[in-house]
Amino acid sequence: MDTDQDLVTRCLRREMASQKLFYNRFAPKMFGICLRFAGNSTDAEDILQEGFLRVFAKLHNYRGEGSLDGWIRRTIITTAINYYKKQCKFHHEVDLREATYNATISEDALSMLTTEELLGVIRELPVGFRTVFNLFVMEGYSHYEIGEILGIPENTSKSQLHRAKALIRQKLSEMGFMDK
Amino acid sequence: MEKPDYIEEKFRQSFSDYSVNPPDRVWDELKITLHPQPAAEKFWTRLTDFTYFSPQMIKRLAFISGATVVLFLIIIYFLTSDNPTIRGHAYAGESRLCGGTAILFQVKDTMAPLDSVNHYRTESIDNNGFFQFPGVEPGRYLLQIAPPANIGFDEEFQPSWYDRHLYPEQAEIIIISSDDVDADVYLPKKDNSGK
Repeated sequence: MDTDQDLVTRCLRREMASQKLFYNRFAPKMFGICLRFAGNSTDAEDILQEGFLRVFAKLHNYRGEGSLDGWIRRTIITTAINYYKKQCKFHHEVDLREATYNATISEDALSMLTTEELLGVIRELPVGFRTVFNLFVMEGYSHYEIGEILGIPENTSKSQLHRAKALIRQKLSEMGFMDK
Repeated sequence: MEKPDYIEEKFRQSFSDYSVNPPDRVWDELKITLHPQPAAEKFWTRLTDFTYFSPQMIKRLAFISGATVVLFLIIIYFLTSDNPTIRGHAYAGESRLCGGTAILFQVKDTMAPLDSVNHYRTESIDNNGFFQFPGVEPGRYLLQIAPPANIGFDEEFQPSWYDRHLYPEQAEIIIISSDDVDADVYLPKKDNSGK
């Protein structure tokens, strides 16, 4: 099996077979990320396609420092964020009211939730909440970094995360996985 | 009591190795963007949307059809354009004949009597008395003009041979080599004295 660096070298020569191999190796995982950031499958496909176009266009910038997987992941996430930045302003969605949905968790019930069901919950979040939740919880970005990426104040990021989690609790409760 | 980060943890674990195979069309469209087809290729590929044939098969059929049409046109050109034309007007008295038929006979004999005469072609005469035989191969010809039967010319004028004779033995032979020939024909009046 080719190493990532070999594959990158061949992709830089614009060999279609190598590009296909590259895509097949990384696309499933990146599509999973796109599905989390996107509101629906069609948007996720668009983001994936646009993201890989960007990856192939910028591949010469990859110097082999750090994992290729991580480099592609960052590019895909940037693409996903830009995709929605075109459509909305994240800071417009800031709700200064604190979310007050309090519910006690039923851990056993929650552990029974499938990934697909969780994906459905994420997708129902408004785009700003969903993006902050994805970046903070799944990708491990700090609120400061999220603020820089989305162009919003750090406190807004915190507020959006709080609100996102409140909406998730509410949704899970409606699904019967939480004890009020 | 609720654990504050339990939900976060649950999501993080569930999606840590989450991967889904994207639909094939994502790669198909990506491939086209990465390696754009030339406009001509795109045209052939589009055609496959309307047929069951592959682009290669469509190209082959198009080539065969095109070549057949070109060959046909070339044959028609050589059959007609190189050979000269016999043309002229048919006159009935002072006026031109209105309709009727011009008949061309090919003469094999080189001297009288003309025993070996074959019908070569028949053309219609227009309302201005004009007729023509394009693409006549080189040789010796006799030309006959017959007036139309339904206008009244036939009551007054007789079918005649080039250039104004009632009988083929008297007709002038038209010799075709490489040039066009003008061959006006004057129909003699019928003799109404009973002869």
